[in-house]
Amino acid sequence: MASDFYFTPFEGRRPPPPLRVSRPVERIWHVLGVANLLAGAIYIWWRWTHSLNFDALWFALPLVLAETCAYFGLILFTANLWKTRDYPQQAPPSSIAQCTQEGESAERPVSVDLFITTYSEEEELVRLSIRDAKQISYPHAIDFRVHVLDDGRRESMRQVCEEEGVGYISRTNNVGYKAGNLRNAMEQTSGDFIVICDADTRPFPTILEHTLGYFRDPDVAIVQTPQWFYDLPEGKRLKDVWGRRAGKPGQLLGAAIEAVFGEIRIDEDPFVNDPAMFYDVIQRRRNPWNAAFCCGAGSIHRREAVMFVALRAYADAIARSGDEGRSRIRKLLGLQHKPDDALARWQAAQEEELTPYKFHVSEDIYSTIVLHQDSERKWKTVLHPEVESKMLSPQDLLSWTVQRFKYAGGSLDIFFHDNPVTRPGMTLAQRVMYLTTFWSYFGATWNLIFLLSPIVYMFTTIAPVSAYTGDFFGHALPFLVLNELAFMMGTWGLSGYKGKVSYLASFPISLRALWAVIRGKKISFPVTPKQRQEGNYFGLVWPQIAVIGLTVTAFAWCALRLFTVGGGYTLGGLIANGLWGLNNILAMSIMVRAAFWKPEEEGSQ
Amino acid sequence: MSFRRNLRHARSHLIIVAVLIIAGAVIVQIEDRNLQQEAGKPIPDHGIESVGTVTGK
Repeated sequence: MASDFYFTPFEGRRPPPPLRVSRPVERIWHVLGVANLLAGAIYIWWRWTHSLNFDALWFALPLVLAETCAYFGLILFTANLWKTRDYPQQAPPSSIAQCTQEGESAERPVSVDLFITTYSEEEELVRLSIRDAKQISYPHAIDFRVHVLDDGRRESMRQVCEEEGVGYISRTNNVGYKAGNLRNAMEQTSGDFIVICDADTRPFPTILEHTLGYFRDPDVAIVQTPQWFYDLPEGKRLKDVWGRRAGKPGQLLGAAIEAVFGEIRIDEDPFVNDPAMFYDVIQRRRNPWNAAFCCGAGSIHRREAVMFVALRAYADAIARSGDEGRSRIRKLLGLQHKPDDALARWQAAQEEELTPYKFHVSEDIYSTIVLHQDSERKWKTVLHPEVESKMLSPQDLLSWTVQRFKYAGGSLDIFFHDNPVTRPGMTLAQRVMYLTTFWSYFGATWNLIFLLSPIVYMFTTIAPVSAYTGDFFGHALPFLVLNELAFMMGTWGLSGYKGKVSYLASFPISLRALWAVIRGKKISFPVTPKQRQEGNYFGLVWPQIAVIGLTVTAFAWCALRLFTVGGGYTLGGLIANGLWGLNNILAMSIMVRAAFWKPEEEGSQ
Repeated sequence: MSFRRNLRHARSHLIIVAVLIIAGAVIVQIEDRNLQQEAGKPIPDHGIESVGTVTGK
């Protein structure tokens, strides 16, 4: 029964409003952001020209290269976060004629198909999504239909659909996974707009009323709404946790710390999902450059645009296959005969399939890229800032890792095989935004160097810089301090710590994805589990545990040397690397804690 | 959202800034002192004395 779900107590939760746009805050961010980039440029220049330890180039060079790559990422991220300019919201259309070029459509109500894709998710979970979808309202007459797209071909799912009075669409195979499932549904429906929902996506009644107005601009192809996890654990106050563990003194100490630093919660959002940073900051600030991309669930698509993507991909595939076909025919007929182009094209067309969503692990971002690349039609994508649906977060580290691996692998696969940054079609700003996304996944390589550097110093006493003196800190400190202050203002209203920790600690996932793509291994399409998976996740976090273990051992080794032979360390080097190592341990420990996290009821048993 | 609430979200940045400034100042003080000692020069008292020397007061 629905009431048995772990998330039932959270049904009443409401999403936070979008971040308020403040021009004064934005101006401060601009000043600090530029100052930060300047200080960074000075620091990086000084690192290359004045600070390298030439006695240990094997260590100094990788580190300075890593810093330079990270600095380039910083430039890209600053550009991404530069400004917030939302698309103007318009009144919901009463007729499809208001959403197309003049004379393209007759006066009739808008028609919308809402697709709920499912494979193996519990039927009662899908029923909740169906019921919420049925509650969607619209101020004008509308032809609105809900369809469940069941790739599991379950009789029980069909039964639920019949009980709820919604469409049930299935197929005889699972070709293309979710993209194939959507293609099959598109062939059997005809709505002007399509709302994409996962099995656990629970749309709010306002989703169409708030988003269809954007489509009054006939160039708007996709509207993405923020994904919001309504089941994230709220955690417990520090004073209460310490009070339980250490009695009154613990409670008083916790309360004192909270009095200084503000409310601190333990076990809040254990997997540091932080969707607000992604949707409300990163994606939303791509609106001014028409570079927000589709993320699947919670997005609304113009059917014409989706078919445009399909036809473009189809034509490209035929053109490519046509070339191959021509060469095959040439071989068959002998080189002296010229083959017939039409024959090669016809043959290629027979072999290709029209696929509205590319069969790719990141079909959503891929489709957006094709739209943005069309410089003639100039399709637009919109990130609508208000949350219009609720969904479930990954409840265990395996589900979280599967999801992150798909994102990383899919994006890197596009980068290596169909890179929109270098291909023609996009504006410079759009290229910069896509490069920001791809670059972030390469970050794992330099993050690994940052994680290992303090360990190398403590074990070997070799410093990557010539000396930890006033000269070094005179260049490094302004940059580091400005960096913190700039992004505090750039993400004002959100905590930047979660994003930073998650970025640093998820390095093994991005490295695995990078390795898989470099080897040409196909990134698979496993369905992200919607229910908590039981198991031992030690295997997923051994790299983080290794970093913690190595850093702690390095600390111990360092202390041993200091108290015996004296070491050869400098105090400045010790403090700098000690704090650096401590920061790394804290970041890694969050992921290790997540591996052993259990929901409250389970944890207390 | 209130300023106080936003500031609470920003606390990690502020704590890191405080740690960086304090640690940086301590390290620079210690390292410069060590360098001066190794070079056999008198330990500079950053600030007041050196300013006084420059202005001739």
